[in-house]
Amino acid sequence: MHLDHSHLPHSKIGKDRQLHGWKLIAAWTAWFLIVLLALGIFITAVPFRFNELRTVCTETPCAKQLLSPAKLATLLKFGLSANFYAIYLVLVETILFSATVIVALLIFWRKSNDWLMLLVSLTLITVTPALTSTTQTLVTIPEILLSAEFLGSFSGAAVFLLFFILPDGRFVPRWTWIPALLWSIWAVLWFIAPSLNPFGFPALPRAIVLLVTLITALSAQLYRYIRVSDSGQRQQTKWMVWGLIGLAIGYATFNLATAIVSGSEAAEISQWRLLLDFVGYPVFLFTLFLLPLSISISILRYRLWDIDILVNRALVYGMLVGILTVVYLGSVILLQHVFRELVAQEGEWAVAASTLAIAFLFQPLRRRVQDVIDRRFYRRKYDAAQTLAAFSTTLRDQVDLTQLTRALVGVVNKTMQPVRVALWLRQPYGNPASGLFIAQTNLQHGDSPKLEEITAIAPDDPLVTYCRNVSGIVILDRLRLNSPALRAMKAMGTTLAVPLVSHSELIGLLCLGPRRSQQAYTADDHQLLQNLATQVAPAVRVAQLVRQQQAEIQARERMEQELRVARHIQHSLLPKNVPKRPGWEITTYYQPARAVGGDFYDFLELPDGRLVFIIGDVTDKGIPAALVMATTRSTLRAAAQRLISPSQVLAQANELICADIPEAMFVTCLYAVLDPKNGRLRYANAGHSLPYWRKDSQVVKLWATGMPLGLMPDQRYEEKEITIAAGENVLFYSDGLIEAHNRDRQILGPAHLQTLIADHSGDPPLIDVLVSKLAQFTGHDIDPEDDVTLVTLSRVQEGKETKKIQSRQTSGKQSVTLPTPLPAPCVQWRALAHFELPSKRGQDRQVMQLISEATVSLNLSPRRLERLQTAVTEAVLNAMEHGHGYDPTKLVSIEMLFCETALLVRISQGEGPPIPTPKTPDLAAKVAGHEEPRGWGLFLMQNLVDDMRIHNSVNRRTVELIMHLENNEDAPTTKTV
Amino acid sequence: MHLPPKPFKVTVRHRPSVGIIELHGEIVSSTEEALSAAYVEATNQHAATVLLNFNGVDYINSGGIARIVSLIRQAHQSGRVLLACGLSEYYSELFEIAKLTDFIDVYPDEATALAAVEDNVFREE
Repeated sequence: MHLDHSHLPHSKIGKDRQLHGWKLIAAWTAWFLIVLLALGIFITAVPFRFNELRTVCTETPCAKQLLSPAKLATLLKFGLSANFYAIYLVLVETILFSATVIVALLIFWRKSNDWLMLLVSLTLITVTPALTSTTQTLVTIPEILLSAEFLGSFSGAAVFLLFFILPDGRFVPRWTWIPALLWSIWAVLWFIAPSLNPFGFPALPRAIVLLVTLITALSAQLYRYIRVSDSGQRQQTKWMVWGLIGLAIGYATFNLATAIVSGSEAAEISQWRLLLDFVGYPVFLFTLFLLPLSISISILRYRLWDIDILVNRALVYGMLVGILTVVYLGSVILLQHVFRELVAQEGEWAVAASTLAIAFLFQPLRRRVQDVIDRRFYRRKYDAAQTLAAFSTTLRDQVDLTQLTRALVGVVNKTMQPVRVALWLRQPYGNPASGLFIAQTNLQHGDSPKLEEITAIAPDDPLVTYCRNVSGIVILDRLRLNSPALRAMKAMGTTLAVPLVSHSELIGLLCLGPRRSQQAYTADDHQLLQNLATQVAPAVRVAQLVRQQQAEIQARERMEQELRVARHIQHSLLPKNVPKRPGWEITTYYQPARAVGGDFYDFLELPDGRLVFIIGDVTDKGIPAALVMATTRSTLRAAAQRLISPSQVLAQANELICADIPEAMFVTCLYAVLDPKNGRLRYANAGHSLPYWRKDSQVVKLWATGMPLGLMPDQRYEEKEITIAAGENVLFYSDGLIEAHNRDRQILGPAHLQTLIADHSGDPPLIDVLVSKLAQFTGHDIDPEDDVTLVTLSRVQEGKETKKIQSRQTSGKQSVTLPTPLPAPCVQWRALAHFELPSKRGQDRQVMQLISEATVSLNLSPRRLERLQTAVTEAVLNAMEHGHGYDPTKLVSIEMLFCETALLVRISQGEGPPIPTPKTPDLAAKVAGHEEPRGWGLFLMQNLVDDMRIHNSVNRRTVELIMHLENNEDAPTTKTV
Repeated sequence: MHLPPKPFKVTVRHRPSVGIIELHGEIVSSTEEALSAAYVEATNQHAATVLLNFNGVDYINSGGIARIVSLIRQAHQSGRVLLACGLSEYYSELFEIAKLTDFIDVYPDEATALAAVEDNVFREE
């Protein structure tokens, strides 16, 4: 990484002026010779000048600070010698010359192959000897005089020429080469005829010539400034103009003063004349030096040297000094007067008090003056600062990224007025373009900002690395990096990049083109932008985080929504009722995974009384699986109506499914037909888990080969038949059962399942045993990875058919550990909500609120909702008070399930005395005082809902409240136990 | 979400022969003391009838029912008549379910209740 601070902002023009080869050598030789000549002449002239100065002049008036007799007398009166006077002035002139030479050498050193800069350097070296009196002493030595006059002509020509061609080396306007040429010819003529040298003219003609020259030069520069220059060149011109003004003021003042003082030889003004020589002359020489100084600054300009600041400070401190002087003198005079009147003494007190007052006044006054100056002369800067300050105060409330960036670009546009402005923001993690810097496209603001045409900056672009490591504004012109982004930005005319850094991370770049006014950005502008960046960066970061979070929430909601849809499809496809056949018991269990797996089962009752069992599993999850499941189900149903043979049904279904199924998906499926009359079960299997037949004391796997549906067409399926005798049963299941994992990542496995079936004695039912074993194996709090579906088909022994045909379906993990069987009237209960509340007093309203929120979708009538709310609240209060003794570490669980026809709210507590059976309070006894007034809770609960059940198991007390959804009217329901 | 319980407030007004207890907020078991005090105040001018105005009540639970039963008992023991008015439809239903209406006459609003009392007094005279 290389930063060339000295590089001219307009390198293209600078390159035109580069000298190469013999031209360069010739230029350097000429430069070297002329510098040598100038140095030689000056050094030669010094002793002559010294002699001249200490010798009393005999002419009237004495020119060039020479000693007149009167001046010498004054000098002696002050105890100073003629030698001292001579040494002093020679020293001053030498210092000025040396300073100019140093500046000239500096320019040569930095820009030695630029012809314009060589010319500037030479001009500086030759102009000072020409202007000062030192070399003019050489008139007495003709050989040297010639060289001195050559220098004079050269510098005279060069100065004028430079005014027409600085700062880019071209004549602007183009015709100005004519006056430049004429002036150069005239300058050559001085050399031949020294009387033509305007510096040798009498005062008035000399002033006229110099004034005309100055005006012409300034006009050329002014024209250039207004019509041609770009911002960098304007900055350079400003420097030169200020230098020139300084020179003009110094020259005019000094000459005027000299003219006044020289007008009289009277003794009383001799001391003023001396003062002029001792102080005025060096000051004048310094003003001469201002021009080379300002030119060199404009050429070698460094970004911190901001002329506007210098002028600003000069104005502020000039005004401040003026005011303070007036205040000081005024207060001294006033106080002295007051002291004289009051204490008849004057002196130190007044001075001391005034000084003290000035000390106190200084800072506040400086601030006030600065403010006035800024407002009067730097209105734009002042307004910009105000606008940015106002913007910063609103930042904290702005968390919308779009609005924030728009406001940021708006405020930059308003205050800095760039031709273009772009905001690049690093895309946060999780975004597809994470890490890239993308130009914000939503920032159209007025007519000005065009968007960057490159679309993204890579995170490893050298520009990014550079901006991350610098503190402060990056001036792109000065940057030399092998960066595609930098090249693109430069090509589009971006000049400034303001890094937005938050938590030492580069989160964005605010890029500005040049000003619309073509003025350069000042150091103040840089400061304002920097402050803005410091304040904006964290706000942008926060806004990005907020946006990211919103996006995540939306994504999650979308996913949840998809899950709900998939679950809904799946649920709607499962049979609502289990078929009933005398002598047979059919039980089902279905537990969907959270991600919604592809399990399904189906029953079909054929016209001849036979029963079809279908159990299947679609690979994949979510909506695609649910849709395939729907198709498969209807295909199988359609085939079952026409065909008797299970193998034919599967084969035909396979053909149809193959045509439609998405790639990489397939369906395993077991298809079985039971004739309940004789117990014959014919079955075919399309790659599904093998059913188990419990026959006497042995467990038989029901083999039948066949490929899964949808994998490839033209499949044949093996068909088999068994006869189920009384007391035997068959278990159909999905792989979610045998592939369930425990905490150690071991699977349950078919062998384990087979053992469980073999060990099963008949009571409790096989499904209950399997479900509880599965829960034990996986752990109660583990989300099931896959759907689990179980269907058992049992042939009941004569006279033993005591159990009702039952079915279980649950809708989530909380239901795995059901302490009690779910009550009628529903076959399929679905989870609605589940809350847990700490046992604390005063939560009645919270419970009511929860119930009302959870039941919104069920459209309970207001009255029935009120009844339910009261009943649940009573149950919760009982659990908290009687069960948990208001111990806030103990939680009361409220679980809400629903089906099409009913809502079930299950309130459970962990411990406490068993919940009693509700009884009707004897109000008369209570009023008579024979009974406590309390004891209404259970009674109210029972009378407010449609059904209530109480379960007191070993370690759990549960109240179930059931509200019918079908008869959702506000009819009063009063029951009495 | 946290819903603080609404504080229970009670004001007592006197009409000739009727003490009116105006109830506000929630009637739960913790309102016992305030209710008893209000009852004492309502009856200190020898009112034969005490009217409970439930207009400002938005929640009654089983504990609150028990408190009302206590008031019924107090009134019953001292031979006073207890009336209620301003109950919402739902709480009227709750009163019926609990059969409190066997011991308290419920009126829709205060004016109706007071009119009934006057009627009663007039009739007795």
